[in-house]
Amino acid sequence: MQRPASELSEAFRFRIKDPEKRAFWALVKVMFKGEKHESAGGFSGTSPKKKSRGRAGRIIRYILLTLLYLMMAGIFASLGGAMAYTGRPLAEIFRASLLINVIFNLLFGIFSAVNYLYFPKDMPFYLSLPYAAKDVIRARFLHYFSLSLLSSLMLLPMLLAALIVCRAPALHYLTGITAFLAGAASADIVLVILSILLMRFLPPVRNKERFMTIMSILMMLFGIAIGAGLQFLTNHEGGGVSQSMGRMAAFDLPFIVDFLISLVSFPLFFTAWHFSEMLPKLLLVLLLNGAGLFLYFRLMLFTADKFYLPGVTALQASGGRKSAATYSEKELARLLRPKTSAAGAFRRYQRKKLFRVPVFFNQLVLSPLIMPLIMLIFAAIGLFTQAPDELPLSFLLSEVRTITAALTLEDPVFSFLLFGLTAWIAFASLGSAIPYRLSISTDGRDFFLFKTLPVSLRSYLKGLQQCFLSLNMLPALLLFLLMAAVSGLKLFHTALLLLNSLILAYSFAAVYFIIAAARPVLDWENETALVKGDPKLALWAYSGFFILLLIAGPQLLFLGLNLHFLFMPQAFAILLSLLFNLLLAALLTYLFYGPAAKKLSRIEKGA
Amino acid sequence: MIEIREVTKSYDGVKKAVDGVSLTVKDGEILGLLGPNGAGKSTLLKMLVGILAPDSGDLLLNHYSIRSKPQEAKRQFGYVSDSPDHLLRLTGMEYLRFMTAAYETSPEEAACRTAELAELFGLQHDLDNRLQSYSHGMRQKMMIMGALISDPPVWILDEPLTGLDPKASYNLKKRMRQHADQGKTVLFSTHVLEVAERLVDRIAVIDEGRLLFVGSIAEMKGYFRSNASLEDMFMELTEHKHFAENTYLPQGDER
Repeated sequence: MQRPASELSEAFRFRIKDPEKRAFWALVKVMFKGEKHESAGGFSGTSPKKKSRGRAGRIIRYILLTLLYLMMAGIFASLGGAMAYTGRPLAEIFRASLLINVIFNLLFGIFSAVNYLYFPKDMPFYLSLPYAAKDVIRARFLHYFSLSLLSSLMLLPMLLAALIVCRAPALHYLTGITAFLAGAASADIVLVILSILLMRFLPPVRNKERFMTIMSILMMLFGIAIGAGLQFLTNHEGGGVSQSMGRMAAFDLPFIVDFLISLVSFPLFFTAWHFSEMLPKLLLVLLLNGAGLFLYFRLMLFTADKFYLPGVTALQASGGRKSAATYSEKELARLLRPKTSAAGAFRRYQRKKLFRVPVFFNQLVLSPLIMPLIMLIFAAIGLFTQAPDELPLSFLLSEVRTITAALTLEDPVFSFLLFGLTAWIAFASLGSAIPYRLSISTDGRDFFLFKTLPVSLRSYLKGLQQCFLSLNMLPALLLFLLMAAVSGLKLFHTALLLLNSLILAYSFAAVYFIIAAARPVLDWENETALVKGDPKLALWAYSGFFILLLIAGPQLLFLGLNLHFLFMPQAFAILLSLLFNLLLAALLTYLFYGPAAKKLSRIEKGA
Repeated sequence: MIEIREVTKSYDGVKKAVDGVSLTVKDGEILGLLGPNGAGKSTLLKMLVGILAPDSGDLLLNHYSIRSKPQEAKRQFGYVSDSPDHLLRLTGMEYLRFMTAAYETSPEEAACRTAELAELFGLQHDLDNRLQSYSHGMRQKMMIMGALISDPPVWILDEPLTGLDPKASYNLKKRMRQHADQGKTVLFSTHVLEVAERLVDRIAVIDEGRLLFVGSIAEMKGYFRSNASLEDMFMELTEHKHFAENTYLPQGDER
């Protein structure tokens, strides 16, 4: 639509009259609106159909996120309430809520702070505009802070519930809530300062891909450590989560750790004062929190003025050292000689892509890879902490070995073993639902380049399937082999169980490959949008339960019924069910390489 | 006016992407920056607009140093980068409003220039669509509109004609000439030697981070003592490295 001149003139009228303020708020608005595609909804196309689909997707996403947010807030509220019921003092619950916030911040804060402050795609563009460094950092901080505070607010119900249960006076609500907000804000400010210093003085982290990969691995490890620590605390000393949290909050941390945590979230320095009975103390702590926040904010602006811009410009120049290697004709001939088939070339390409794109590596490689490991660690902790003292681990192990040594296919224990292993594979596979669903979509518009190559679509799909299957199935299967070896399972039994697991895991994957080929998402602007921007992905992850039920259900039902009614020898029943699984896998393979592949081949660019 | 003084930049601390370059682009002049891929053209322009920081040397825009007075220096120029994929979630109109606010341009001026530029580039009917839905060429046009909406005295354009249709390309070249004729400055990089040959007052040839030649086409022909095309002379300059030792820099302070 062409605009008339008068309307055009009106479009450039700004509500804010001061040019400097107007420029600043325009920057803030652009950062909020203009960078949405960095994280979500980055699928291109503006046809009416796509627009309405995008709107519907957005609504679904907001509803799902709100529900998730409220659910988490509810969990924390019940935790705070339970702690208060068990007689934990308010100060302790307040401390626990801020401690969790600091832990969350340490887990995700640096990652997202650096991401928001330094890595947006449009950063070079902002740098060329006439903005002072402090304006850019203020606008960026506002953007980061709005999101970060929202996640911190999820913890506030923990304190609120405790205040309600304790029937605290109104003034305690005021001091508690303001202190919580000040604590959350100060933790964000400290992370911003740390990020600025990190990016200014630590050149190795200036590579976005390297930074994201390192941080993802650290976040995973830290997450496992905290989860395992909490489980250990809960299991080892008995009692529920609320009591464990109380113990953690009251735990006498070493002075330096306590001091550092309090420095990150400064209201922790005056924990007890917030719920004092003395009015002057309460007023003083309100004043101290206000002053502290002001001081932290000034410190952040000072650091930003000094180091933010040099860090950002240095980041634009960081591409790492480039190789200057040259090759002789002989070397080139050796390097370019095809080592494998076309499918092998696609397999290698897929693997390189998944490992080199940080968001793919984090979400599609690391997550499914770590899932079996987490299960194993938690199971081990459970075993260590719950096993009665009179039953040492070596005794339990020797008992297991005795059972496996005497095991036959006719033994009901074998059926239970098969059930257990199916459950294990099922849980380990659940984390792979999204990687399988996105397998073809990760190629985006590159897929259309592949279509122009003189290779069959079958080779492409074969290479893709091999890559995703090996990355997603191997860890769980290797762990199973390890457990089989430790428990002394016979070779034939191990092979039989492994074969059954492989077929089930393959069938599970095949269902998602079929969906991936029939409904790929190839028209995306950036990888993050693909992996995190589509709310339907969460639904696909949940659908894994039903798909597993459909795939493994018939076998388990059949073996279960036979175990109960014994209408045929168990060994025969197991072989029969294995055959059924094989036929199912073959059918799914046909559907993948047949109708689904045909549908994929008909997809056109921009459709 | 643009003054580049002894500027050096290295990405890896070893190889210099820009090596001690000095160059002046005078008021009323169009200077075309030429060079093969990876010669250092974009690095030089990115330092000029504040995206990259030089390791040494200084860059001045209308006498404001981009290092010591970045905000004032940035008010002097409009910049079109080599990639037009910025702020894709905004509509064309929202993008122009943002640029208006950023450069503190008056609403009347912005409206008047938007109408003029939108017509010039044939984007009148696309202002309310998201940049995401634009073609590459349309995005490029919108980036140019954003850079010119505040009528900055200095234009710094990195490969500005890439992706433009012939009409838009013709119109932009005409605007560049008009801008220089008003006593203002245009610095642009290009690979298209025919464009440079017809449009520029002077050219600067850069290769491996060093300036090989600065001067007019006529001066270049005089230097080569031939009536060869710019393309031939460019090939000669960049392929035969011995010229690097005898760089032709007629103004003395440019190297």
